[in-house]
Amino acid sequence: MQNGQLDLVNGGWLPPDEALTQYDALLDSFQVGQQFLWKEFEYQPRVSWQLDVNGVSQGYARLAKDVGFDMLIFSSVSKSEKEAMREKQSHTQVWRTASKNFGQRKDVLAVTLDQGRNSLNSYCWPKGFWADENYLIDSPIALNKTQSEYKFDDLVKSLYADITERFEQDTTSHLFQPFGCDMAFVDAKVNYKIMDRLMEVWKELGFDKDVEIKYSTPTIFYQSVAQQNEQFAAAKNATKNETSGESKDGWKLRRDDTFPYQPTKSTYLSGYYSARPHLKQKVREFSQSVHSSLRLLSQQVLKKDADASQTAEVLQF
Amino acid sequence: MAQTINENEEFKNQMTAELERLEKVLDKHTAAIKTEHVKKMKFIQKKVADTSLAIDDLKQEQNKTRRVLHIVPHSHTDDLSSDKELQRKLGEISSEEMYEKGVPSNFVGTVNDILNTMKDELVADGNRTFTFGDLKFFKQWYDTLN
Repeated sequence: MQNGQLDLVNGGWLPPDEALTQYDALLDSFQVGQQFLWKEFEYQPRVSWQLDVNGVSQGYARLAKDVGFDMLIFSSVSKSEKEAMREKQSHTQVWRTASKNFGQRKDVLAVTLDQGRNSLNSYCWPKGFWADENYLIDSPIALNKTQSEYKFDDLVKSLYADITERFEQDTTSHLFQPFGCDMAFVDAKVNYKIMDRLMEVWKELGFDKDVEIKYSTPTIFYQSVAQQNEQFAAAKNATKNETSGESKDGWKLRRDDTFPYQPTKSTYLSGYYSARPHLKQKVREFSQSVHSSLRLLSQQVLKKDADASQTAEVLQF
Repeated sequence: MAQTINENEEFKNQMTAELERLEKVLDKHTAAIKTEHVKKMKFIQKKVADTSLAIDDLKQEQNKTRRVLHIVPHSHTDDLSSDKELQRKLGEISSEEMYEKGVPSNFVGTVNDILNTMKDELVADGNRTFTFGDLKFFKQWYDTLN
């Protein structure tokens, strides 16, 4: 973690999904998780990462800054909106929420994952690289030139063509390419071998003169993007507004949320509005108990005449 | 050597004058060469400065337009929702069991496998990265390390 190889994003006890639970439980989850991270590694995540949720609410975007996030990465954006994003080059947006009360103070970068019209999934491997033990779609991939079924060069060429197209659909010169999926990397060696070979072939074919390829994490990606766009930096440090205006065109603003989430033309993921009422009720009841007991505890601790044993008693309770 | 004092003095004066003249010529030449050299050096210095400025500009330009593809290896171990059979089973199985026995679906392997193999690969090569967002599982694994 110290040299940035392992990135623990979110920092919540669980990845956040605001479709079912309320913000109360969300914050509790973040508290528990980030406390653990801070205690063990003195690390605070800067990037939130929601790969497979049923839409992202602006309430979450509003809270993100307070939790400590500078960038949200998500993929749950309706199909039609993704198409519009490709046309308007707006996969990277500045999400401005509650601007009536807070102005630009709650601005976060919002990155929508999208791998083009023909991709199998927006947050998994690029097309042709699905060779994980749990996804045998393209498996096995021959990586050695001496093998008779070696087609890896062609695969890299098609990826390069795809990447070039995707670069044109966005204003930033940094592109986020997820490499993994649900329950992927059960045998991590397979995937890392493919990635190592990909980078080798990428350089052999001379693509790295145009597009540099490297191992990365969401945090590194955020740093590169933020560095590149002074506009966002200027918005972030409204007081230190002396950065030069040489940045590229500013990003589009986003003010609404991504509900209702429409992954395909005829599907809406909106059942959670009315689904699982008991779970929702339980979550609210639990958060209520947690918060009231915390309140009782703090009252007891703040009492001047309370001794240690009395506080311990409350703690036990 | 001349015999009289006068002759000697005259000779001495002549020689001194000659010496002075030569010194002046030398000074003149040195000055000329010096100015020429200084001119040349200034020219070269300016060239160097210009070139380094150009290099900086080009570097900046390159950094600005340098396109980077970020490969982000990750594993997402919480999504179990797409499987109907799984949804039914989820009511019967706790998350601890999920973690130890693997997700009860057609997926093979466990979160433990993912994190263990990931650790070996990251240690083997310092350039490799990994991204993980499911902290509960991470802590369970992290506790087994110590």
